[in-house]
Amino acid sequence: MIAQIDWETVWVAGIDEMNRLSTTSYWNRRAEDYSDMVLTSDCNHGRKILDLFEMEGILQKEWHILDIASGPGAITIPFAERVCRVTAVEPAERMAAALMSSAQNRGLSNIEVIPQTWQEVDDAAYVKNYDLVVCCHALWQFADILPQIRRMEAVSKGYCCLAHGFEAPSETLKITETLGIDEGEFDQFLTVFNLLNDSGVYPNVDVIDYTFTRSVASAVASVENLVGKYRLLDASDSAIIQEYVQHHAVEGFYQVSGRMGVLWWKVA
Amino acid sequence: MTSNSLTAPVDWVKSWEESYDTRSRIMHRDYEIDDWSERAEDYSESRRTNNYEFGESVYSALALHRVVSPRSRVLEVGAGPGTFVIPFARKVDHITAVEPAEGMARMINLNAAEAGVKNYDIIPKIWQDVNSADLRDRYDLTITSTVIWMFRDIMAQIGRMEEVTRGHCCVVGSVGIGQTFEAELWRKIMGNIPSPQYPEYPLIYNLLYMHGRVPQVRIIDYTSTRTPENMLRMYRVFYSIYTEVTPEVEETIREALYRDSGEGLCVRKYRSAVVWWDPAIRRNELNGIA
Repeated sequence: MIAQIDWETVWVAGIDEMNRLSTTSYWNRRAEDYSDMVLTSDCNHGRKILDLFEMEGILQKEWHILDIASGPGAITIPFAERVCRVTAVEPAERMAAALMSSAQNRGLSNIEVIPQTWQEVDDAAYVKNYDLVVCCHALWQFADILPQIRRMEAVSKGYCCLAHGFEAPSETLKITETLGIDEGEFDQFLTVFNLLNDSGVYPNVDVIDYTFTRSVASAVASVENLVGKYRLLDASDSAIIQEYVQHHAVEGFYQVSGRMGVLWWKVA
Repeated sequence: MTSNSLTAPVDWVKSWEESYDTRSRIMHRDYEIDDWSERAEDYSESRRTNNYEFGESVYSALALHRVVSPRSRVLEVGAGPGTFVIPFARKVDHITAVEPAEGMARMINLNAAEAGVKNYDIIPKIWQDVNSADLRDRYDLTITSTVIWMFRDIMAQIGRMEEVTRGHCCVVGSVGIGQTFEAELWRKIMGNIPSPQYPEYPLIYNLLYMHGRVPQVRIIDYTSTRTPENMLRMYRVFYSIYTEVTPEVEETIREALYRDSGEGLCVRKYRSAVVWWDPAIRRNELNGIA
């Protein structure tokens, strides 16, 4: 029975295992290729999430958005182009710098950064302050996920939205299989979905198709870093990765398509 | 990465079957088609509340996502008194109701006549007896509500619903939002016997996901209004499945209803999940980090 599974415990077990492999230094190494991917893709998945709220007829020009773990701005940039104001929570200096540089290039002056982790942000100072609180691709940062979601609800006077990978690009699956990488059985999306439902938050669910475009160098770096989580990268791995990415690249760009699950709800 | 029993995939089919079997074990008798005829009047009153608010909300959610349109041909599995037949027929090309209970079929015709809709027909069978191969790709949408709990072989029946559509499938399942009245009444009548579960959602989402579908969800809230007599009729049928409905049991129900709503209408707030998917779209597994 669904009620007999403690989804918070499942989450902690899954995140513990993931974080054992994905250390801070891993994410520091990933920052550059991730940033390249988001910006080269013109914030594709963020635009799809924006489209979702527009299609629902919910999005308002006057909105103030909080983007938790904004990275280089996949959510922040497209929303800042449409709404009054976006506050990005981003502790990594290089990510925040990439975000502000991108904003400047686009002539956006309605973005501000809180240079902290979400856990460090004093939510009491922002009670019911935002119209939409988004956390995309960053739930793995929270071992205590439900309290962190409750804090997101506390600072929202409108909606909360959690977005997470739903289906990996088939190209990613092929290369990881070729390299013998097994990322385990932990399904973050389904765990968060069940955790929310069990705790009385019944989110709407949208599945969006996205396309990521990145330079060949960025794609190679991303897969090399992934392999490096599991074993020392050797010459054979590098050759396989180079060959695979080059073979699938078009005019110097490597493009993959996947699906993202978007869980969103109106805060009571 | 080593397998961790906590994060290993759950066997949702087994969960579904266990839930079905647990319910069956406490049943005094099985549901019969005549039970649904007996329920026709109260069910109809509930679905008609606020000019078919429930069906209209489901239609709006699906139309916004282009799952249904004025050109659609729709099949409703277990239509009851016309849950979707009436609100959908006003907007789509045609709707077929699969409904075996004569009383329910009569109610569909009455409600349709009142609403002035004629673009529907009724297949007077239970869904399991419908030859889905004969209807292959005949519809743009197969939809059902408050029915799938009757299917122990859930994925087989889902597969048959998919077989008859060239477009989408939709299951509307109720979301338990703490109906304390129901829980208290069950305790008064049945004592410590655990109340039966009808866990359509979110279990159905997990089942579909586990089987490679890409389901999307809208949560809707709606109201159901019924007279005390119709509520009594509903509870009489419901409790007859689990115990003998003696005059004492009936009096317990009456008293509870009176305490809840006096002599006026019984108003209930409900929440449901509208779950839809395109059977042609399947997902690859995604594990680890996105």
